[in-house]
Amino acid sequence: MTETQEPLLCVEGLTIEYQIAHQWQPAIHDVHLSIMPHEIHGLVGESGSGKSTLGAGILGDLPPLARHADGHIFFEGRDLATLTPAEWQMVRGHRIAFVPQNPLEALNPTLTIGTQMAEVTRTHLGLSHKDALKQAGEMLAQTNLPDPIATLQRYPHQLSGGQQQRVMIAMALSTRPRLLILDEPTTALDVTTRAVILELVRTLIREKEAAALYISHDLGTIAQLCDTVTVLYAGEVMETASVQSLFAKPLHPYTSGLLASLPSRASGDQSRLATIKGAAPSLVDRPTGCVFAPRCPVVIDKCAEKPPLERIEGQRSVRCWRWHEIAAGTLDPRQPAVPAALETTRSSDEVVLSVGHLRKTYQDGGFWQSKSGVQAVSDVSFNVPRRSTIGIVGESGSGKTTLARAIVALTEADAGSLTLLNQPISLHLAHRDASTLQNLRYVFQNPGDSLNPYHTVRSAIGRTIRHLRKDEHSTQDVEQTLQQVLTAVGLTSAYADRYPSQLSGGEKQRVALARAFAAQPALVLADEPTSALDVSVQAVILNLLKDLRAQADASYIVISHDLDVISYLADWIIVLYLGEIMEQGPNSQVRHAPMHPYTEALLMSVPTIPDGTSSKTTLSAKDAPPLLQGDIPSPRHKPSGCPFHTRCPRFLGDICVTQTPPVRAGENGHEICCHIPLDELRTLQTGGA
Amino acid sequence: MQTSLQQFFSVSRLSRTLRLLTADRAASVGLVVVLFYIGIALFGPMLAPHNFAQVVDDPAKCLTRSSGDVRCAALKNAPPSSANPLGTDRNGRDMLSRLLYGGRETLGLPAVATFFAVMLGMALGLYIGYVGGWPDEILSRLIDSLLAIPALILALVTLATLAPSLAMIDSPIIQSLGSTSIAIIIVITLLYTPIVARVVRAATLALRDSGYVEAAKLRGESTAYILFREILPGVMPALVVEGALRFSYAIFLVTSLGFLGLGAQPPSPEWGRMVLDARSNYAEAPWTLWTPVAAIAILVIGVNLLSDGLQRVLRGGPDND
Repeated sequence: MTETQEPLLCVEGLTIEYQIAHQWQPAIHDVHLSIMPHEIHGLVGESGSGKSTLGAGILGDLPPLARHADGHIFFEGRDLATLTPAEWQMVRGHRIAFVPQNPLEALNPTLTIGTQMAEVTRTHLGLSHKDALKQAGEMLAQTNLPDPIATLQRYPHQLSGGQQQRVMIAMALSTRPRLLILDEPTTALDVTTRAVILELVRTLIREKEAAALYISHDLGTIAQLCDTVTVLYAGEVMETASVQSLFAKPLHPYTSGLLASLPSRASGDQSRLATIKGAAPSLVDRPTGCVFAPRCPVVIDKCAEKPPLERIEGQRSVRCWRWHEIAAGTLDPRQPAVPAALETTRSSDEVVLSVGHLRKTYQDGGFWQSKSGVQAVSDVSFNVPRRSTIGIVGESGSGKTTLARAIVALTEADAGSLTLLNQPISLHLAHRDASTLQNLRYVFQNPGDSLNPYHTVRSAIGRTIRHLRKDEHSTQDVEQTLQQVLTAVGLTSAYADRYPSQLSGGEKQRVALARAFAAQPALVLADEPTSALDVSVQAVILNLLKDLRAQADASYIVISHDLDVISYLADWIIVLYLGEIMEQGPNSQVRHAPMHPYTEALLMSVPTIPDGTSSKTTLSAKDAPPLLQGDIPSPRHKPSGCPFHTRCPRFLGDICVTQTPPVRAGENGHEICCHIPLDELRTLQTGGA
Repeated sequence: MQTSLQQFFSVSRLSRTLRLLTADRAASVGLVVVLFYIGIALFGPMLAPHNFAQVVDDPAKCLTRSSGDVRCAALKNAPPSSANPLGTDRNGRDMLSRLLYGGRETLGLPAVATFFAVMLGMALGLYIGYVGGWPDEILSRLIDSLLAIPALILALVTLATLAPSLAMIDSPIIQSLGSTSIAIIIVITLLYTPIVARVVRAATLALRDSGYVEAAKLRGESTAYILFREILPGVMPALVVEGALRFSYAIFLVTSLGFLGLGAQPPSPEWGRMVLDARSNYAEAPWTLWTPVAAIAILVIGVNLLSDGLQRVLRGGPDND
């Protein structure tokens, strides 16, 4: 790999503005960015930070009502603003390629994969259709798609999300571009698929000697993939550094705040996550000085003046007045850690909810068609002790949401039993009495969707209190409880009269939590409570969930695809795969050997973020099993024997295909459903063999 | 506690809708036209110089009787003049006065019928959309089969049988409103209820599985509460737009029936009827045909502009700025 001194892409003082209410407002302001050949450059920022706008600006593909107001973009030494449409044709899709976030939207559903891939090389490289198809097949083979030639004949909807994204990557690389812009290419994918795609992107970019701009909100993937990283906040560059130095020693208070808010960085079971106060400014109310000043814990008077983007050494630059102090170690930009709310004696033996042999099969096929069943949840049993948090983790299609909906009876289970506070409860919502409804509250995945846009916060919460709290009927009582729960979730009473459209994503989730706790439930089920939120907001909500549990005498069932979130919150973890429990046990034990091969694979797929102690991250340790290949099978064609045998890296042989694995009991109620004995698993996983 | 419907119709919402409508050029033209016509329907008869059935005297053809009273011949087919700004028809009636009087029937019947159709269609659509299953299957197929019959033909057949039967009923309400008017209202309600119900059903389906409806179920709310408080506000924009569109079609239908001689009967100044009366008179007095035709055309265009504008404005969903 030869390094040339001339950067491949150089963005200088770029400002892009959007027209809002007849006024031009900068979405990105004075952005400097340079990418050397062969460099993978990460661009990280929360939603609204302007990272996608920057990507679109480099591609010369700004949306209507946006304009390139100031600055230059040099690519291979040429100013892109001077290009004619014909010259753009030669650059876009050829020299600069793009991989979008949602492949299904980017692929034409009416054309085969082969036709669409061939079109790129025919247009840009002048290949004949036959040669182009041949080349497309070769490219697909390089992305490790099984049976690439057959894939060329398929239509986009016949491929899974991971396969579609492989096609997009193959298509983008087919012209051997110098620069690849990837806009959140793995956000829509499952953890295990995401890890595989990331490794593929890294290998292919290296192989094709391209450079890449990788746009993401996820610090983990950035850490895993990129060489250098630029942190964007409110449309301005806060800091640029190599991945190692950024994660080891962030110089900007925003970067340190962001890093501290990751649940994987929580130091221990009792700690709270550090959070960044306030919310990011909208396009119309950007601060005139330092954009981060209103939220900065170490703000000084000078911050009313905009700091310059100072170049420190090499690639590293930072936009902060106080970076010298931070670099010297005399100033700690992190929020002072707030001790966790004191939790009284935790989980007792008393069982709040007992789930017994719960099953749910979705029947499809209409009136005239033959019925076929999709087993979403099969034979799931577990107990929820008082004051405990059960974490349910699994990929999409694992049946975790169906399980939660069956417990609250939004989906009717086919068989099984539910016992709430020692009383058997019905599987049908219509047969449940008010006290069951009151004791079992559900927090929806999407806070925006679970609040009626035509109802105020007062109406949403008040209605719950009036309906489910039998002791409170008078208007004053309801109002008093309303104020209490709003305070408990950290909202002022002014929020009572707001409509959901006047709330931010994090505030909506607070209201949803307030609504759940207003009923004084015994058990709260939260389905992906933070998946729709930004990292810094996620930290706030996770803290809140912990605090509420300490204050209210409630248990939780938390469902997430994110192992970090689950292990931050839960005492007891249940790992679900194709509707079956693969492993369950105490938090500390599930994450350590011996563990189920699927749990092991999930843990492997979670990107580890360097904290400065390790020098360089590697995707997988040398003796670790390879990442999970392929996709989670459709529950319609559930594998026989052990459902995981089709992807299992520790596959034994026929026994896994033909026989249902036994449940092997470990210590403290730890259970693993596998044919491999626990001792053997431990030996395999600790690398002692 | 403010209810959701109050919120939908709250002063701030209405003023916001109005502000956005007036910012839209086409919609504001529609709004002005519709308001103008509503003014005619309400105050027209008070402003009219003559009664709709009154024959205007021709001052050139007057005779003074021996008893002293003056008897004049009717001013037939007079072109527009200062005395009769829109001329007179072949019976010598003032066209302007007839137009001003006719507004009530031409706008009133469609308005009442549309109101009934919207109310019934809303209830029906909400119910079958939310409950689904067999009620939805049966009622949806019934609606489909009703929609398969051309509207005008269905209207003609129903009207031909309904109006005479209604006339036989000895009821003061029917007597005062006229059996034909009541029959027309019933026919239009019958025709448009299924159409409105289909639109509401589709909008309800989209909201049925939303998180807030499920949240309401988990609170143990009644079906009626979920339908009218949780779902209806979200369906309202589609309903308002569809109502405005149905209104413009209803105007067409009422005037068409009048033109075919099945609706309003002479000497009614209903505009469709006026077109029918003027048709055979076109060679002598073209203005008697053009004025009611223009009145109907401008009204329908205005209502359509307004309903398009409403669609643009309400589509954005709730925004409580």
